[in-house]
Amino acid sequence: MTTALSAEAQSGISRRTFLAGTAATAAISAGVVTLGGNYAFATPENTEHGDVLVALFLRGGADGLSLVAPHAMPTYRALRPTIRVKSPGEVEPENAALPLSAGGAVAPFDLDGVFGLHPGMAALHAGPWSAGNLAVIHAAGMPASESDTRSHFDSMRNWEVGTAGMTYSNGFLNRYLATLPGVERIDAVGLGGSLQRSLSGQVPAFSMHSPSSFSVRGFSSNSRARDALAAFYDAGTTDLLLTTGANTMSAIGMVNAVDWSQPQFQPQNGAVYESNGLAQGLRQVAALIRANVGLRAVALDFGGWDTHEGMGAPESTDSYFRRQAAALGNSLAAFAQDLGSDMNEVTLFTMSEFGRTINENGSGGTDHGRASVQFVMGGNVRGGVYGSFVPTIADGPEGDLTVLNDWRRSVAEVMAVRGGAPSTSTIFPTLGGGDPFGLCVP
Amino acid sequence: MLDSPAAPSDVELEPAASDGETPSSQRLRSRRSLFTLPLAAGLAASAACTAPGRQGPPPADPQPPPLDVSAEVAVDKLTFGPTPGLVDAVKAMGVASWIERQLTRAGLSDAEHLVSSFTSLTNTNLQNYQLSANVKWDLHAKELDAATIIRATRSEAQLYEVMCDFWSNHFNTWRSKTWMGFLKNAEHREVVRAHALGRFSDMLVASAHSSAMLDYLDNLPNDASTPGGVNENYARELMELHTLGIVNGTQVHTEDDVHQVAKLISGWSIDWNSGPNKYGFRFAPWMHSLDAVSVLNGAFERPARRYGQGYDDGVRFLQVLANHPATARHICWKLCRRFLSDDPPMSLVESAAQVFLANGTAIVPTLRHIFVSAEFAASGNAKVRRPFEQLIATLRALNATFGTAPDGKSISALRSALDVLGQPIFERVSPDGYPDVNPYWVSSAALLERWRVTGEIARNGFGSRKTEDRVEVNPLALLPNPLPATVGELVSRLGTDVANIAIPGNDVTDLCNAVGIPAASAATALSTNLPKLSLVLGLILCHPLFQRR
Repeated sequence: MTTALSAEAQSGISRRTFLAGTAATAAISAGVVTLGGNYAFATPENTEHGDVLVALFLRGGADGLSLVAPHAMPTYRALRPTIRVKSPGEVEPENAALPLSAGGAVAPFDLDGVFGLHPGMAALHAGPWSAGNLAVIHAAGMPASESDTRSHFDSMRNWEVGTAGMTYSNGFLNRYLATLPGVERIDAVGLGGSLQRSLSGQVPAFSMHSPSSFSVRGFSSNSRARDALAAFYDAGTTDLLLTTGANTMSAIGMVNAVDWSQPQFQPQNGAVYESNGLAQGLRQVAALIRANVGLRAVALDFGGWDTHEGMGAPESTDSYFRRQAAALGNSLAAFAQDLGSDMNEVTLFTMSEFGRTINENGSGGTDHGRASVQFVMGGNVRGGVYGSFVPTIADGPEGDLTVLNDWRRSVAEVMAVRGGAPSTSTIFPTLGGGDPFGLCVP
Repeated sequence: MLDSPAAPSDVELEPAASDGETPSSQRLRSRRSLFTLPLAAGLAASAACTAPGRQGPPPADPQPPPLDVSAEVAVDKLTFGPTPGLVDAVKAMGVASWIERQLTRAGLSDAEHLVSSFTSLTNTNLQNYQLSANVKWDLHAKELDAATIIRATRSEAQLYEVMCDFWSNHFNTWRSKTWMGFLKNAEHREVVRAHALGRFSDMLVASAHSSAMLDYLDNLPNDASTPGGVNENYARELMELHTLGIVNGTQVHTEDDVHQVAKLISGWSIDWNSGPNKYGFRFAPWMHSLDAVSVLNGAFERPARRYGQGYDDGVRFLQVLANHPATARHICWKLCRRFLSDDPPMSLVESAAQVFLANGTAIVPTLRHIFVSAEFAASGNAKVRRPFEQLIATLRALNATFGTAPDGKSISALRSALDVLGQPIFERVSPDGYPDVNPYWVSSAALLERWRVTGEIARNGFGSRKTEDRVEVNPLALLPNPLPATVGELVSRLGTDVANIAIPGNDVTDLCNAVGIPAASAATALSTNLPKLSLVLGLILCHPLFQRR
């Protein structure tokens, strides 16, 4: 199982065999379980497994120019009269941009005193950034040569499939898992009520609200119901409904074998999660990682980024965008704190279908644009800002920040260097070449 | 805003007909009489009765082929699920007649008498604001949700209710986005229910005048007079989601079109002035761009305008959009995806689009064309029921009764179930509506919750085991009479009679074994064991076949 998947493994037979030996369920059919609806995870069976990759989708088109603001650029200041992030000295330190610097050996542009993290993300700055575990790639997105759509739905489809090409329909995370040796057990989990498209495909992936709720419930005899359902939902077909049902029944045994009330599944290292969905989702992910159920890939979502109006001033702590930025920053910081040294085997990256127009519109918001910002966080990430950026931003013909960095470059690098993918050509078939950023420690 | 000039005289918005939702049974009766057609009229004959298109004589559906869809498939597709005896009734009447009756609603009883006390359903926006501010802040939401559940479950006009669900998603607005969630009720009445089986162009125009839509998609701040200029949100979705669409990656409108259309509809806003139209539509000329506009390669153009002008241009543009071939294709693709499969045959989509255009965007002839197609007849079980469909199908299959009070335990429990199942009514956040493709709804968490809710309903007493207001199921009433000989035969009969599914023989055996009563036992071993009978019914409704339609 240390080489590429055999045909047998790809058919799911070896996974079934594994499950048959470990999970005491009535119907053992498949090896990868997706838990709940909005998470997916996967774990390796070989000891030299790669990191657990966590894909966080910021749905709605997150404004990268607020999350990581070129606050000192005159054009930025001019085009965003009410919503711009202020430079240090203009406002109190806690309400001004938090300084960033170039990462590793990469010094793509002079960003000293130009770029800063949104002031709502102070916890992320004080935590993972200061620890050197947060990488930032700006001007990231889908290259216009492939697709310049500003449709939420078209673009999300392209991102989650990993290409704008119509010959692919399964998710890039699922194709990533398909390249890995030793994928077994509960490999992929999508947190929430439905499975993210990025995880859908041949390798079983499981959606779950939380591991402790992952069971057959509601019947006068749940064990009898389990027996019947296991018989109804046949494995070994290509039908999505039947295989999902069969895989679910298989995974239940493994998930239920864990006593989720044990203290090690509570937040560790003094981490405190907020009550929002992202924080609570990451809390479940951390518990799943510690449970060692075989997780290798997780997908989760955080919405609310389609800010056409009323973003508010960044220095106002109750403004809309500041609260969004704070929820993101605080959640990521809590997750890193909770996992502690386990973060050395976890890499999280963010995605968003597009960025927003450089100029502020008449409603104190921004419309659909092109490039945004990506965050990559992990114990073996080399902190810093990477990639190309324009020397000055201007309100171009389409009012956009041009995509200079293909978002898949950094993800492919993470998958190869930290995830152990032997090749990324099937994961991102239309990704062009380019020197690696050097984002991660091998 | 409050002292702004009065709306110009070219604003003459006729309130859309609200016959679909009015509680007045008199109006309903007279309305139905208009629709009275020979029940068993041939499909071709009734096609000729549909309103002609504005572009010319209706020409229609070329030679409808013989209808070969089965009663089982027709019931699964056109309704929120079978009720006991419905499939037999459809067979007795003839499938073609039954479909025609669903299309015309002739002679069908609705569920309006059950919701006639829900005042928010007939209120104006201002009245619902007052209800929310002075009586109970979320009563309008509870009443509309309750009405939606009650109508879907109880109305005989099932196709109409299915289409209301379809269009409500097509023109989705998220009720909880802003503080003005009370706008939803009038929108649902005047946009969705008024036109669900009417003319698409009328529905589009009504939607563009809907305060809920203009609020949701940020057209209230679409003010060309501000330094930052127009807000593009509604303009984009108007073309991408409501009309022209992006089908299989193909898009006809450009980014520049989005900018242009944002100008064209700038100033389409809400009336904030005191008076009966407060919170209703208003064209605000001081917010409207006066620039010349050219859209879709010149398919629509207007010259530069003077202050006070420009509203009519927007109305004219909506007609261009509604009657655009890309819109026809997009709408028919979505209809086929709803009624056939996730990836419907494009040949049927294209031919339906021709019918849509030839009939002036009338919905009934378009649906009729789809329902008589061989592709439709062959599409049984291709779709997985979405959670709302599944929940309603469960209630209908079990002939469940439940309290109808919007604040009551039954309705609260059913609303909560939809939250957990991932499809809370009128709370889809994004403007695309709830996805209408299987993979979105088929996942581990979704199946586990679906099974849980189904099992709890079948156990009887869903919502509350202590009070009267609960979802009541009487399993004994669902037993076939006379009873078949064995438990295995009984389980099969419950499959066909209750769930409209043919449970495979090995699944019957496995189910009997799972509940601990062998299939060969006398049927009374199950029929007299109420807890196990309930368990069996719940599990039948969890069978993969009942998840499909």
